[in-house]
Amino acid sequence: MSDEAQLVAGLRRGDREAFDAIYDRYRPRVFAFLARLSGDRALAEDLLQETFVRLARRAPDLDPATRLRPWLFTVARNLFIDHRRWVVLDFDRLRDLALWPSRPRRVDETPFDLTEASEAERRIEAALLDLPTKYREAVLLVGIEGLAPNEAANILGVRPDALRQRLSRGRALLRDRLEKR
Amino acid sequence: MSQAGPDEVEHLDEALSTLGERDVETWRRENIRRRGHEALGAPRRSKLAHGYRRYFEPALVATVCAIHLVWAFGTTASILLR
Repeated sequence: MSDEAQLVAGLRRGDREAFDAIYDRYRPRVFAFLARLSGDRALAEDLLQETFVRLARRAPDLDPATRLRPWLFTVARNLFIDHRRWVVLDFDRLRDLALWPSRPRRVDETPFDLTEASEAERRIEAALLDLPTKYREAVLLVGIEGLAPNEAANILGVRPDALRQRLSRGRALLRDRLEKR
Repeated sequence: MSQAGPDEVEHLDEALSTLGERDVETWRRENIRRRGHEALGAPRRSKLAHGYRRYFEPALVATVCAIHLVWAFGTTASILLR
C-alpha cells in the first residue's frame, strides 16, 4: 500500500496522526495556491481552514483510492469560487468589462514574506495577480503546483483542450505583464 | 499579444517554479489543526438532516419567495388596471 493510500486509510478511521501528516504535507501548497488565487491573505487563511475541516468531516466517506492533492485543490478552488459568488462587487469582472480602472494589486505580505521574496519573485507575484481569474488558476495549478494538465482540467471542471487554451493564453498574458513591469 | 514559443514557456515555467511556498502563522496553523481534529471526531450528521438542509429547506424558501412574488405582482397589476 502506498504512503498516500495509508494516509487515506488512517483518515477514514479518524486517525489524528494521519490528518496531521496530510495537513503538514499539503498545507503550505494549498495556502500558497489560495493566497495567489485570491490576492487576500486573510481570505486565503479562512478558505484553508474550511478546506481541511471539510477533509476531516468527509474523511469516513473518502474513497480508499482518493488522491489527496487534487482533492484538496478542487475543494480549495471551489470554496474560492463560492466565496466570489457571494461578493456583490466583483472587481475582477468589472475590470474585465472595463467598468473599473485596472490597478495593481498584491497579496498582503507579512514582514517575513517581504524579506524572503526577491525582487524578481515580487514582480512575478504582482503580474500573476493582474491576470483574470480563469487564466490565473490554470497557470497556478500547472506552472507553480506542477499538476499535469489533465489533473488541472479535472480540478477546474473543464475539458483538457479548454485548459490548454487557458494555459496558453494565461502564459502569454503573464509574459506581456512581466515585460511591461 | 503573441502566443509564447516552447523556449519562452520553459523560461516562464522555470520562473514560476522558483516562487516559494507560503504558510500561515503558527497560532493560526495550530488553530486550523485543532478544528480539523474536532471535525474528525464529530458525530456524523444523519442523512435525513443532510437532506433537510441540502434540499428541503432551500426548496421551501424558494417556494415561499415565488408565491410572495406572484402575489405582489398580482396585487400591483390589479391596482394599476383598476
